[in-house]
Amino acid sequence: MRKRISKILLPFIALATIVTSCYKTETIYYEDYDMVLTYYDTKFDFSTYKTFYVRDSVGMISDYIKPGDNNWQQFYAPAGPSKEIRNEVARQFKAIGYTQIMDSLQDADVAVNLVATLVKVEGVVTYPGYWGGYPGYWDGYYPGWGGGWYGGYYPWYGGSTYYSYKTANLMIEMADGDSLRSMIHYLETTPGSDPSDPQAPKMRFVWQAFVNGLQTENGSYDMERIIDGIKQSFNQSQYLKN
Amino acid sequence: MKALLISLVLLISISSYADNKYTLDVPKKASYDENFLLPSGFFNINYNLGWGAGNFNDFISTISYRGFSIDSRWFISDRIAVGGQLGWNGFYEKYDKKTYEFDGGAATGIIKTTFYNFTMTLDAYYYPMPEAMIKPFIGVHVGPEYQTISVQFGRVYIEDDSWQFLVAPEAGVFVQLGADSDVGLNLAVKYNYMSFKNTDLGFENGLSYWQGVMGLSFMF
Repeated sequence: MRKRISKILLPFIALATIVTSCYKTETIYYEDYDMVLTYYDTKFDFSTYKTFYVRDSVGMISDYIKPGDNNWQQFYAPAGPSKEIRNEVARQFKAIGYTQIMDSLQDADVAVNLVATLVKVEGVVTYPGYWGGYPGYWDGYYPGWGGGWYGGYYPWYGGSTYYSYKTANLMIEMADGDSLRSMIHYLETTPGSDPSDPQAPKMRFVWQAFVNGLQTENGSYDMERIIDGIKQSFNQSQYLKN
Repeated sequence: MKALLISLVLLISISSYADNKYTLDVPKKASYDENFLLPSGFFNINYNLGWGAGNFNDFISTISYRGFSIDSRWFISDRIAVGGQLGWNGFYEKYDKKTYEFDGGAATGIIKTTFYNFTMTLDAYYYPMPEAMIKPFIGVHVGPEYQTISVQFGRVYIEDDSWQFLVAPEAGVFVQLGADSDVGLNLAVKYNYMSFKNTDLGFENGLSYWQGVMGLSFMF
């Protein structure tokens, strides 16, 4: 009798060892989370546009960068990300046959808007109980995450772990030059006006691109991915060709 | 006197049996011995390879190297066994960076898909040749399974967790490792079908996958 019980228990022990070690944490790269998304007005004939104007710098929306701080100064430095992004977007438009109007929006068929959204995401994850650790939740992790699957009991941090990562999103959009000029005219001539007024002229957007990803911890590998993303957004939008 | 004579004859016959068992030990019928040698059941610990079938193949086309199960089965007659099984499977695929076009736009990125499940089934088996050293069997598993299915695209993550009903026919063999051994190999092919439907994830008519089962089998 004793023999049989041990014989049946052995495989259980073996199985427990195998199962706890099989939630693989494979190497996750920053590129894995990069995404380029484009939308366009399918009814619009892009060949009617010849000239474009790009705003002088990239607009910034951020919850951790304040105007004037170190990050801000770096971003808007003469050879900083803002300048590089603007140059690359202009280069791409010229490559597909558009003519850049340097100084004024006045004659441009298209106004190109650039906005970077930089957001810091922080949180604390409390690991669920024993069976709550069902497979699947290891894969939603981002690089830079302090946790991972370990299984068992965590005496050193009470089952919780802190994480922090920064996301970056660059929006490139093409607005019809005439619609933008009407809007500016409305805002300048109507006191107390707002772009969201019901009587305000409608802005016409014909193309929008989002270059989306995670920032590396020291920022060393971010610009290269953003530039690649800008190129990709034009690559996947062949209808823009002039 | 007659009784004494009978006892004496009996004593002689018993002693002669002891001395000369070869002549007397030939059973007329083998039926009793045959049943005695049959196992009363098996306990298996299995490693399972998995690969998708049908729509599942479009979702995850790579082979799963992460699958384990344990099962126990008891013979309720010469050829029929019933039992229960617990299993865990993990499927995963990382697609190359690709551009996906849709009406009015396109998206470029890396897609990662996962499928995990935990299965709990009641099983029935038929052994056409229970007395052989290599015992083939066919079986069917039915029961609930808990599954987690996910898609990650860029930073967008979608997960669908649900309980489903699982039906899994199986065909396999038990290969005894030596005539005196009660340990053997459990080798089988299993087809798993779940009534899952999610058109967003591309599952129109249920979800199904194949498994190659390789296990150690303990006869008891």
